[in-house]
Amino acid sequence: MVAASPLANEVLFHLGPVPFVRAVVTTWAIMAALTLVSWLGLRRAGVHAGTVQTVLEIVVEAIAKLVGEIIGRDSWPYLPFLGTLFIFLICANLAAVVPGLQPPTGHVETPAVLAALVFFSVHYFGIRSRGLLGYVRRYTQPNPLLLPLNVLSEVTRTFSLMVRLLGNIMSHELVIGIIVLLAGLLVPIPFMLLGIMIGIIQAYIFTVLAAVFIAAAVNSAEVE
Amino acid sequence: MQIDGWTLALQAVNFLILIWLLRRFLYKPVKEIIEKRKALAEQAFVESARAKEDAEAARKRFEDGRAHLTQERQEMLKKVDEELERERGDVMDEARRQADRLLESARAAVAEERQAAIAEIRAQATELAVDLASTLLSKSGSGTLNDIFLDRIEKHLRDLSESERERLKNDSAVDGAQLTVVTATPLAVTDQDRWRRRLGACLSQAERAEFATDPDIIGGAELRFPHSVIKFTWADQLEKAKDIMSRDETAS
Repeated sequence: MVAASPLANEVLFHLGPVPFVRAVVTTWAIMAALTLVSWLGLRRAGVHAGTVQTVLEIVVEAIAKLVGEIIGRDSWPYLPFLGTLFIFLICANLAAVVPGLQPPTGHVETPAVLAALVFFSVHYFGIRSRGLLGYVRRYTQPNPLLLPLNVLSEVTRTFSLMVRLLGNIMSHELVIGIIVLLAGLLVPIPFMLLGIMIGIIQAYIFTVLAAVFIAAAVNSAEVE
Repeated sequence: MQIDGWTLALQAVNFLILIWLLRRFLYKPVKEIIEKRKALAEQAFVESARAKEDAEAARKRFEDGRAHLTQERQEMLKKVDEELERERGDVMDEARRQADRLLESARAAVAEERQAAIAEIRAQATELAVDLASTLLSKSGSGTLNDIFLDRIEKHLRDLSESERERLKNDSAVDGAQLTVVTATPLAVTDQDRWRRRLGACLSQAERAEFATDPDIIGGAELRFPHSVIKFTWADQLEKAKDIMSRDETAS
């Protein structure tokens, strides 16, 4: 009997031809939790905030400040995408801490989707900010001869974005699994704490890099 | 490693839905709250600035009003001082005029009183002198004096003009009319005859003259005609002296 690959997605159920893997269900749970917390915390939002509202405001304002400092302009148009990216990545990366859950970012589809969305959002925000010609012209800077390299860098940096996130989270999962298998139940706890730090750092890195890419797309050449 | 296309698509849709959900339930409410709070803060700042401006304006109005009041007070004080000075000057002038008038009237009154006192004293002195002279003359011997007065009467009658002598003659010519010679003391019969002779030389009717006495004439004699009197008496002389002294007093 051949053991199942640890990198393979566990299909929980099928709906017609569509297989629903654990990562998708975990994502739904994260979506539901985030939506519920947001709704509960802000359903009666007022100037005089309660505890949950205060926490949510602090989180949103911290992300908005981070994004604003990176992009160098009003952060609110970019906040839904970049803020959601950061919050989702933290929740997804930290899902490993919850018993029975696996981080969706530990499988290639989710980092790939996020990296792809970053790739497309960079072009979307760039064209919206500078116009199609102005945005395309940036690939010919500083020299038109560099156009192929610039285009290639767009692909490679997106790919590196995906691989960095996937490698860190998946490797952490593998390390935890191996340690649990070899050393027992309590030994992996320090590594799990390390995993929390890794998850937060990776979410931060992914979001910051996405913000940097978007900033480079929307701002002038000197920013790049 | 295999990439599942369905999972890829589902995760993409999931993430886009999550973006929409968080935008709807997280970012939008937080943004609205922040904007509302910022608006309140700006409103509070504006109100604070407005209140500060109002306070500044009120302070400026107060300062202006105070300065205006001070200036007005100074002007009023100056005006009051000027009015007081003017009124004081007027009062002083009026007081000075009244004082002058009072002084003048007092001087006049004093002068009048002085004149009156002097006149009174002079009148009393005159009266006293006349009384003294009357007493002295009445006590002095009358014989020699009567002769002196007879000489003066005789001379007076001789010096009369013809018309006056005629008028006296006619006055005595009326029936029953009589010339009366009045003396202060009774004359002796011989004296009476001597008086009749000497007067008769000047006036024919004097030869029938009667004699009477009147101590008030002090001395001398009066020739009393029916309608006129010729006086050569001390009383008459003293009365004339008294008149002269009174006229001198009035003239002074």
